[in-house]
Amino acid sequence: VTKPGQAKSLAGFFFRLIGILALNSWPKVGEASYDVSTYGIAGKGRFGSRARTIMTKRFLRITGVALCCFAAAYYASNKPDLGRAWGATPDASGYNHDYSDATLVEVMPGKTTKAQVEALLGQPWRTTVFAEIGEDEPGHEAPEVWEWRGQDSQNGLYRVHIEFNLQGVVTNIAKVPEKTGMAPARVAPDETPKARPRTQAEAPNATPQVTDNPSAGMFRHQMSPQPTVNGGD
Amino acid sequence: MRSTLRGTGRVGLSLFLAPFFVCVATAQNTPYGTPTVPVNATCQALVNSGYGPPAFPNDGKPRQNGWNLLVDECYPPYGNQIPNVNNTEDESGNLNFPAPNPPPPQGWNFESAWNLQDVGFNDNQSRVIYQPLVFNYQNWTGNPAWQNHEILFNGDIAGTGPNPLMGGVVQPNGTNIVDVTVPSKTVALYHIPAGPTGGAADSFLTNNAPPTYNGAQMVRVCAGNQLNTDTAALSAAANSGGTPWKGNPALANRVFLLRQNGNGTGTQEIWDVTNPSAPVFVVDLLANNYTYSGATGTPSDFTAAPLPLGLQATHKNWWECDTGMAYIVAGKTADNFGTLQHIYVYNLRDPTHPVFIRQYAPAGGQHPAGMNTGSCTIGPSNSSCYEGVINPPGSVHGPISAGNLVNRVYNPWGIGSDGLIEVTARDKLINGCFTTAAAAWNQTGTATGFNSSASATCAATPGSGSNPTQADVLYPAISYATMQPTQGGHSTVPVLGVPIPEEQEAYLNEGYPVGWDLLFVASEGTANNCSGQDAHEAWIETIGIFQLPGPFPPAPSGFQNVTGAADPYQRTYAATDSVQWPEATLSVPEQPGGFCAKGFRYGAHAVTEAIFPAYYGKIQCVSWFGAGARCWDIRDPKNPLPIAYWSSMPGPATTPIGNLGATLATAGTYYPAPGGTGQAVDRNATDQNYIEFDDRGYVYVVDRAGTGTAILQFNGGTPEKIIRAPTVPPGTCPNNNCGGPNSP
Repeated sequence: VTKPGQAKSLAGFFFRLIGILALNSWPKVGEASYDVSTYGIAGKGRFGSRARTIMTKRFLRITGVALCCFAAAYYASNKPDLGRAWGATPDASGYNHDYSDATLVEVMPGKTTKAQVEALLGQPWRTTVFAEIGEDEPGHEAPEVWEWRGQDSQNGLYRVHIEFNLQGVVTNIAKVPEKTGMAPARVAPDETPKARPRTQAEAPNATPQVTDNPSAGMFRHQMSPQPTVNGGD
Repeated sequence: MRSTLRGTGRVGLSLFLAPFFVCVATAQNTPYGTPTVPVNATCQALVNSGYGPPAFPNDGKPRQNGWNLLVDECYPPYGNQIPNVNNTEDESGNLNFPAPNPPPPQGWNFESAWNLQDVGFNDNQSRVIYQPLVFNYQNWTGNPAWQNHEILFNGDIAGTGPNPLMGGVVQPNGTNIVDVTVPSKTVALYHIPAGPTGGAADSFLTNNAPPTYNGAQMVRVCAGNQLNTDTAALSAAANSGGTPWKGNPALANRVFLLRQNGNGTGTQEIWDVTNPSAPVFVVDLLANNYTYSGATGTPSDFTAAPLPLGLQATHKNWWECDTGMAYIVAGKTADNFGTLQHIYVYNLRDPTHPVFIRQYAPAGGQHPAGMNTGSCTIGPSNSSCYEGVINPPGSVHGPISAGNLVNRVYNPWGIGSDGLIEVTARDKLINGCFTTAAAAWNQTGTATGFNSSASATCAATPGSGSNPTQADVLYPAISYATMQPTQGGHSTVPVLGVPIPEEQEAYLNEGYPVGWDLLFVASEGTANNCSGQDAHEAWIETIGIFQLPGPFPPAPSGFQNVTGAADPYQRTYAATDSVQWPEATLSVPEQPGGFCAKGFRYGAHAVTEAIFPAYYGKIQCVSWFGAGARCWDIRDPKNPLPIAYWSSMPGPATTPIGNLGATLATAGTYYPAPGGTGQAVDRNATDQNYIEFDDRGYVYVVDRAGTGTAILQFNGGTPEKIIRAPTVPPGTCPNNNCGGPNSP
């Protein structure tokens, strides 16, 4: 992956390579007789016609290669620097901690709070609050996510990913290696997948209320009238 | 001076090209226009001069062409015109094409692209993005350093992160400003943090409590010179005898940013981004509210009238740069509106002096919860019914105005469930609480739409606890459609005047060619791993049917929509925008791709709002979260065809959301993710939150999972063919496959 600033240095490298190839290929004074004798053709003067033909072909060939190299270098120098994000090796300078498994095991989904996590791991590299008022159904709010960056010999560069619910309690923690982008997570007990979807009657918090139009059976999911606080995104 | 400086060469080029594009219609597409609103002469001339589709060089370099002026001045939100759409298909429409065969997407950890190609990228400081908006600075500032620069404003979702431009200091997520003039070499300019800005308030701990007090998801940008040239208001003033708003000289050569500040709690505010590298705070819409007397038409007419601070439900806004009218998504408990997140109408023609106009919510939403009874939709309506199927109606996220000429504001309510798609008359929405034309014109620059019967509490101020009456909120309403309850109204965009290929002859009366006004609507999928929700889709609604201009005898009343004007053939014109009818579904199948098992969200989210004339009426895009950003050929709106998609590859800032073993729910019902193993797994899958165009036709896709902004362009044969397709005259059949009398 091309990194910032590398493209132009690549172009410079190609230019230098072309120069070297061209200089080394162009017959030097005194080489003509060698060429002539090699091909067994009598020459005229220092560069015989056969030798000139060879030199011309070689020149054209090298020039063609040079032009291709130049085009490639030019293209590289103008290609978007997408490698910074996509498929790139992250800049390791930001991954300057090691959050050991022994430390992370102290973060207990369903119990550990924000303050406790911050006391344990320090200030996160990045936080994101995905919950938006009303966008998620009550009880299904998106989490707040805190992330730290570290590295160790086992995972290389990684991110510690911790999710909190609206009450500020950990619901999900994983150490995600950058090289794989995925890892098993420890989740709060109530986030553990169930064998089957719960039925309406089993849902613990839902109190379905038929609307004022009984024939509208499709509206059974409605909750009691309350200020609509959608605010999602 | 402004018009002189703004690319006269481009106008010249367009005039040169005009003969080659004579098929561009010469009439403005203003189906709902009112005679009181003048057509912008500059825009009319630009449209009439004709433009060609832009070239799409695969180099990621800047491209300037004649489209820019139209986009930046003539079309909403910058102007009041609507592009003309020409018929480019024979009578078989999209059915004449091979069945679309989108390639299956790559795995979650790869880029997936079809007919879209990346030409640039910006990491957005690793902050999670909600919405991108690109504003062309043209010569709005008078500063050559920014002339014709394309500046990207990214609205960020709440959070915190280091700001590399400030030595890595941690700031609350806010507004990222990036120079994307050369897409392949983007330049980060500034990050305006959200929350209490500046100083020690930027420390992590301070701003992390409460956590929702940051993020600035939505942005709108207008130039002061645009705002000072409200020709509609000036024209009305000439006819009314009143004192016109003369503009504020202090706005000249300045550029203003309107943004929300804060998610669950916060405010709406204006920043001066004349120098996008050094933005300056201007006003808070609540703390710095004013009233306007109109006595002299100058800034001296403003009187400070601060409103109670603190909003609890901010979100997307819309700001008309030609009139200054703004539709702010806001709300606070003290408003006493059942629909907490509703609309505040503001006059921001002088953004240094915001003037609150009114609050608005659909019937039932303007009252405390439960006060209205009986659904207007599913039962006999009464004077206190609520619209839709939920009481009170759900929230609004993306109101969008088509400008004062079309005179419509489209309001999607409900977000992801129990939706309402509402069409309102713009003049009645902004003026419905004024009782006289003079007062209306004085306050908004529009003289129509006042309501002599408006109640005394119609324009209740934020936090006052007073409520508009049922009649007050019904007054601007033209129509609403009740959505299937598992779907909500999240975003809309009108695409007006789309010719219907098969109805270019022999339909309606005497074979007049037919066009439709369309409204694109998206619900929002809010669940991870598809858990517990119906699949969220987008739709094409028909909101108007009318005769197109063409080589036919004009209808008795000329080019018109059936709305309003007397029309002896009205019985054959089945629909107006007083009726909405879903015509087609834009759907992204869960397979191939297995999007429910990708992680994070899957489903529709937001429709592209920017008007780029080469795409208008031809290509429409919708962000689809884990399924990427998706685009359709909509020239035959009865048969939309998928033509392109994009999904970014995860990067070092992509965050895993929605473990694959279960939903993110913290209580209630939980469903295993499709394909889940039962073992909770986090993985860095991307999630495309928004797709938007700039005035050059570049496509911006931002990632909700933190990956950044991808700058794209259409490639491949299909989009190019659509964009460059020649006009098919009504009643002709160039492919000779129409059958009937016009085919051999």
